[in-house]
Amino acid sequence: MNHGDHLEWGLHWAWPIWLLVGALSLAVVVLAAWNIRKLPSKRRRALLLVQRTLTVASVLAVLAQPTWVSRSLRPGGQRVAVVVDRSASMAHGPEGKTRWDLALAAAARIERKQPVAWYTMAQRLEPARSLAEVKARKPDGQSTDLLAALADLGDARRTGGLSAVVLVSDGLDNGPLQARTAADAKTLDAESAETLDRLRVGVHAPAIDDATPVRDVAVTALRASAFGFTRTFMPVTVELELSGYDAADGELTLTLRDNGRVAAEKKLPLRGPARRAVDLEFQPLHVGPHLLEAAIAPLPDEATVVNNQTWAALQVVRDRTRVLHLAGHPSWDTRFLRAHLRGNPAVDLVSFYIMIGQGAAGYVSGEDTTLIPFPTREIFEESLSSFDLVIFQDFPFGPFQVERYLSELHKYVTGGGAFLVLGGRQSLSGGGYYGTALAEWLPVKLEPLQGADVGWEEGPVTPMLTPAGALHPVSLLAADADGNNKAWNRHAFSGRNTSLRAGGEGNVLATDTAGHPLLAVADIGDGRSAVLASDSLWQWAFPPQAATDARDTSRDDYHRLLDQLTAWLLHDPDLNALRLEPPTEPVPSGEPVRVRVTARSAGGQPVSGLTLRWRLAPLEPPPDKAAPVKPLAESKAWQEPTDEHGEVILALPDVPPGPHQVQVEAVVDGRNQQAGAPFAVAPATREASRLQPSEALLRLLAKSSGGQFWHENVPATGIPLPRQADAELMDLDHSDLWTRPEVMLWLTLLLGLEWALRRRWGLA
Amino acid sequence: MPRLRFCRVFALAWLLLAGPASAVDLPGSAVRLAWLKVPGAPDPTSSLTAWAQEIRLRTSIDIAAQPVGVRPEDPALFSYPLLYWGGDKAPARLSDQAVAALRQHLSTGGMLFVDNLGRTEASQAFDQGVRHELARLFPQPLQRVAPTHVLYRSFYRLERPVGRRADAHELEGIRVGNQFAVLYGRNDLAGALARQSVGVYALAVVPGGETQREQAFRLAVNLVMYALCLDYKDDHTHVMHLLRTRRGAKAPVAGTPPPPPILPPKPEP
Repeated sequence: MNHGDHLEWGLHWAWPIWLLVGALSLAVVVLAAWNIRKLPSKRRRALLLVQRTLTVASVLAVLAQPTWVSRSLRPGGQRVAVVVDRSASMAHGPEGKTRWDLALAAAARIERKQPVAWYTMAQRLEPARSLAEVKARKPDGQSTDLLAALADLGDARRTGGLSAVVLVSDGLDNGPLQARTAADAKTLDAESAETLDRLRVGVHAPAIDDATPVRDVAVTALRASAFGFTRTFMPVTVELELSGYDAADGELTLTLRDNGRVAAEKKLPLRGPARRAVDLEFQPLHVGPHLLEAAIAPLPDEATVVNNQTWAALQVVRDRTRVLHLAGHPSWDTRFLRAHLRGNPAVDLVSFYIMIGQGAAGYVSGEDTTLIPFPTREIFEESLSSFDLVIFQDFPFGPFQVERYLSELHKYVTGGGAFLVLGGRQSLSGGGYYGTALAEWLPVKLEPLQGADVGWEEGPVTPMLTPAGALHPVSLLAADADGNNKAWNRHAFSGRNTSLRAGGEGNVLATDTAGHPLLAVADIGDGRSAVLASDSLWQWAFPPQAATDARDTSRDDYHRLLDQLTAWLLHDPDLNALRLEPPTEPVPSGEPVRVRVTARSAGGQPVSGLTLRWRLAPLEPPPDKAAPVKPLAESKAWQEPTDEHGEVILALPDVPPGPHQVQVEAVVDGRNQQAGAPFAVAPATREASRLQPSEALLRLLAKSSGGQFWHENVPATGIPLPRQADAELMDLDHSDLWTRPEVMLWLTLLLGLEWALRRRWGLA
Repeated sequence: MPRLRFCRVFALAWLLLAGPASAVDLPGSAVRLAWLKVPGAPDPTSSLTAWAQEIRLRTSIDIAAQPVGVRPEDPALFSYPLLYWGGDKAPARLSDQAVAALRQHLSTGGMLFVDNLGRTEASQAFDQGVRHELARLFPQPLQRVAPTHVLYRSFYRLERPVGRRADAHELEGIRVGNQFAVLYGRNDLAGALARQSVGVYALAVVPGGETQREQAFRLAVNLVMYALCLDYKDDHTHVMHLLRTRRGAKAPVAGTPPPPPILPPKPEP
């Protein structure tokens, strides 16, 4: 029999019935005594009275339905469950020792005093057969879920009795417990408390590494809208968490990168609040998927740098294209270009035409006219960066003090701007641009004027596509090569700029029959530039053949060329036959990166059955010097072709953490088309988001479970255990006594004894 | 004003006396005035030459000195987006080919200025005939050009259109899209511009005399500016500037808000 085994009574009747039954029993006993009062022997009277009283009592006992409750106990041997946190944060520690080392030392101290059931934990509980097996494990768990581990332990207790739990951890939970107690670390929520109750034993915890502050800066969040607009300043909030730098001097540098390009930078003092929200703003330049990166330059004594950056995906769209159109004089080219731009409701056009010549000032009174001063300063100092596209149309820089701003124009373009030069007598070399800051980076090389050359040659000019122009999206006027050549050949210009030659970073797309450049484009840093060395493109929109052929559509070439030129200058992804949709959030490390690729022909039709080649490349800002389109080196073929919608999803495996871009190429419409899109694979930084050990949760668990939190170490006396901790109640066994045959035998025995005594003594 | 007038007269005299050598046409990329060679239409070369000279003198427009006559059926019509058609008697009926070509021309970016050259008053015969021919070009009727239209602000600030006469108080026009592709004036604009070979004006301007002639020149400049710049002066930038500098505007008072900026505001983040 175990301590605590006991008898329970059924007592299912109401008390009046029991009262009646008791009275009847007493009456039976009294009557029995009365009935044998005349027996001569006192011994015989006493014996019969005892026998009858026992019989009545036994019947009463049966009626009361007695049940024997016995406790099933499992010998525990004072076993203590020691759970050692092996999450990655335990790999940090003071002065060459890791928290893992300290935890193992504390665990060994317990083992010397008491029998131990060993466990480790990270995301879940992990049983171990011995301390040696625990030591063989590594502190590399990618998250810490204390509650899940304790819940697992509660389940495990069904097969093994425990008398206490010791949790050896730095307390840096990043599971639900942390989330539930983020606002108040002094009380435990009901769900967590229930998990602890299921343990039925106290959870004890020693402090680990709380004395030495960990020095670390973590970028915990990068908050930005999922959508942005080109050239519109966009606010971004970066959340930082600093530990160990409360009293440190110096500063840290927070850098915001947009597709690898430094978009904003801020220096912050180290001294200050531990948690900070830093506001930055930047201008996204191009339409399409962007990847923002907020990064802290590593500090010399940081515990880890894996948490020094984070990423956010951003889709940039263009609500309106803001165009600055500067024209040296009103002309038919000006008129048709203006009509073209104004015909596009998505264009926000700001124009300035020089309407009065140098010599006319004496003949025209300002108050009679609607002339306005040319706002040189407002344009070039204040507003330049707000424009998506700047057009110089036969625009001379000389009279308006623009020359000193030409270097600003270079900065604007290299910073992502688009710049288009339309020719004329006052443009390029004829406009005196040779030797200026502008001439250094135009897509064509300017030459000094020689002799009678005024930089302009009048006369019919037949444009011819160069090999580069035959493949370039800007000069694609028809889907097939023959049609494209025919389209170009049916147009002409009535003059061209001279003293030009191909060269520099430019890509000449069209020339006259003598090979002089007519149309050239260039990538300039993040931006793009183009030169059309004639002032009579308007004649494309106003073709003579339209007079005799109402079905003539050649004037559409004017709009198509300008649309494509503008789209290319603005990095419009719609110009590309391949469109990529990368993940909209950083991909967790270890998961495949899914990128949707859509292929469309020049006519906008989906291209099915297309085989793509792809490769991963570092996400870096584009080089200052444009490189001609070449097949991607070290690219791999994707096994699956595009479907009937022209789509295929690339699931890129084994992409290491960090920012990347996927580059895809395919041959569409006979041309090599390439596209790239940025994405990020997030390293496992949950463990690195906070590194300073936290006592708060450990204290709370200990307090809520009846355990203890030890500031120093595990007590030398061992873990305090409950009194009955050497045995564990496994079950209660209820045994109904009144249904047992022994009870019937007893009653039969009592009644048989009555019968035998009465026969022996000759009673009636 | 006297200084301006002296300068202008001096410059014009120089241009004229310089003779053909300085009146050399600028090459093909320049704007060139062209008049419609339709049967019965007078040759307006003298007027258009003076018109071009004033344009060169007063503006930055690269304009050819010599106008050119062009038949509507001629494919060369599409080399001259701005056309002039004047007359003082009933015009001959345009051929169907001419109508088609003109319609195509004006529908795709060209502009036609129709000038009623009636001597003492607008010619009713020309008026009726040209309205009939214009109705063959476009179904929509001529409509009044409002005094607030950008045409009256495209270079000069004009109150009303005048020519050699000033009896018609407004222009009429036919819109194609957002622009007037046809403009019709009944005040004999060419008559106010015409010069004799020695440089003196060919016709007297009534009733306003030389002041009215200057207004006619200004209208001529504005017409070309409108053809080349469309609604440029309706841009926010220009409207704001005109509001700030309009005639009769009071001088700013201390404490009043600053004038609006020249450039439109940047997009808000």
